[in-house]
Amino acid sequence: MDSLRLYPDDEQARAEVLSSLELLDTPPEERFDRLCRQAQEVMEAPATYISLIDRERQWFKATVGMGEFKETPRPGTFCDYAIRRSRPTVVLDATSDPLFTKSPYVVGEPHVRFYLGFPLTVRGQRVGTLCSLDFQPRDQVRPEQMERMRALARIAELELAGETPPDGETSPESEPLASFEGHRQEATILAARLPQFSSHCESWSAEMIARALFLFTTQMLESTHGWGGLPLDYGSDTFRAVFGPGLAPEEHATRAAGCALEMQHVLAGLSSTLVQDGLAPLDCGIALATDELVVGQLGANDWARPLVTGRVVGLAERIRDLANPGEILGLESTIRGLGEAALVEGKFRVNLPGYESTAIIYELVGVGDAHLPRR
Amino acid sequence: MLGELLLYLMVFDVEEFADNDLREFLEALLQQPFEGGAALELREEIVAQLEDEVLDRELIAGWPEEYLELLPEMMVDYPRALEQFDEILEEVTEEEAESARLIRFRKCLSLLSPSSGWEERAEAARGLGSLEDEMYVFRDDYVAKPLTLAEISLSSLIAHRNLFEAVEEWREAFRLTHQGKLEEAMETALEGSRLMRAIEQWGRLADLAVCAALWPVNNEPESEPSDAPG
Repeated sequence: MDSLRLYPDDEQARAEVLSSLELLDTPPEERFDRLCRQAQEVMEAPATYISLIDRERQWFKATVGMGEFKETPRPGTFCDYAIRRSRPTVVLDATSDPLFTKSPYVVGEPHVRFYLGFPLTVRGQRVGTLCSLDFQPRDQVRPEQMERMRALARIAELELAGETPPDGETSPESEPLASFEGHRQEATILAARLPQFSSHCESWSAEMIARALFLFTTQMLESTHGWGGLPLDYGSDTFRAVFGPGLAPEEHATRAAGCALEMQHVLAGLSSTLVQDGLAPLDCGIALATDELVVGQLGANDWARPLVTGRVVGLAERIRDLANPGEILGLESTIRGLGEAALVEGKFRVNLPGYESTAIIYELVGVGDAHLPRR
Repeated sequence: MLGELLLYLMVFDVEEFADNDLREFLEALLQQPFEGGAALELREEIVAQLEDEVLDRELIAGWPEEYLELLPEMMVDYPRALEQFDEILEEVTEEEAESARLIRFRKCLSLLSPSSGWEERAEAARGLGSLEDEMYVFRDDYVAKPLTLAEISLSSLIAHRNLFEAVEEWREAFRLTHQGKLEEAMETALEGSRLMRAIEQWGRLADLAVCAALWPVNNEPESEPSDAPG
């Protein structure tokens, strides 16, 4: 019984991914500091941090309200527990939870009482956490706080994974745009916009605008990654992604359409929350357009980003501008790619600059069993 | 078709349905032909739910058993089959319920005794965190591949529903642990293990392929004690 193993020994794989991020012992960075500040605001908490869990220590990449703490020994920390779990860890009062009641961080400085920790997963390994602490116990974490923290954790994961991996550690599957050599392939562009956002901006406070855009972009990123797409760029009220690199040729249109439907569902849910808060809904128009593109990496060694170029990129934006709030419009090439699974309600012809013939645009209302949310 | 659709309410966890999805499901139910007193009664209940702002999920989840006569013919013997399962469960002894998972859980709880220091508690936390995660990963994987209509039978439904019950027992065991109610936690985990073992035996008796998915919960090759020769 003494030799009984209580938990799997998977430190090696975890340590390798953590090391490949090349973030340990690096200076603070605004992109992580910003997330901490947002987390602090969401949780109304005195302290938040993003930590990386090394073999023997917990090292803080970004902190708010943590004073002199730069790193701590790993044993006895809340995060050592939190990274064992794929779900968030909530400890409302550490003094009444036998797992933590004698932790050095509860009986001693900083006398933690409340802990919320989201594991941060990169390439299948939980390498760190996004956490919020309080030095008073709490009664609950509100559902909207959980949702917003979940979104921040997802962004933190994307930021962590966005570090340039060392040479030779990428594969075409895991890093579909890793090559500096461009190549041609068929792909589907998803272009989204909040068509009424400019008018909201005239009446909303800066804080409301920032919150709405934060929620919009976070959800767009999350859905895009979930469906195997690559975010290309996002502006104040726009978002673009490409589906194709790293995917099977017959998949990109279906995945892009699935992503667009999910985005409309998520935004419909989000909008109802915003309306309850006295804000206007975040209604989004989305366009899908399929064609051959050039894909690759653009930039220098230490500042490269995905590149896709081709006439369809501009076309997608023009179609997007025709989309009403809550609509998904698809260029005929995309609808063809969806085959019999496409559920369309109407179509119209339009002359688009850069498109030699009249484009046929379809109003996509579903794919297979998945439908647009009821409006 | 009404009966088959009702069966799905026994397969899915109604509590986890999104509101829109559940309403769409109810609307699909309404499209079916309703014949006879019980069917019309159900129809009224469905309409009432759709008109209500808030869906009564507990009530909806209970419809299949309330309207047993509307289910496909294979479900006629459902109450008797449930009794048979309960008999198997009654006969599962504590020794039989002992599993690698339970052994690990008990060991973790032993590290949380009042005299334990923070190092032991930290070790227990790692072990409990891993165990809990294994349970959720298993549950999420299982939920992601719901029974297909072809797989639904009296036996598979009973296995399926008791599996969710067993996972719920384990969840409760973890909750009780965090509350410091260690004895209750151990008893609850034991109940979860007994259920798992009963499902395993049920699966063997019924020759259920679907139960193969349940076995890893009890069988962990790296630490499972075994009396088997060789």
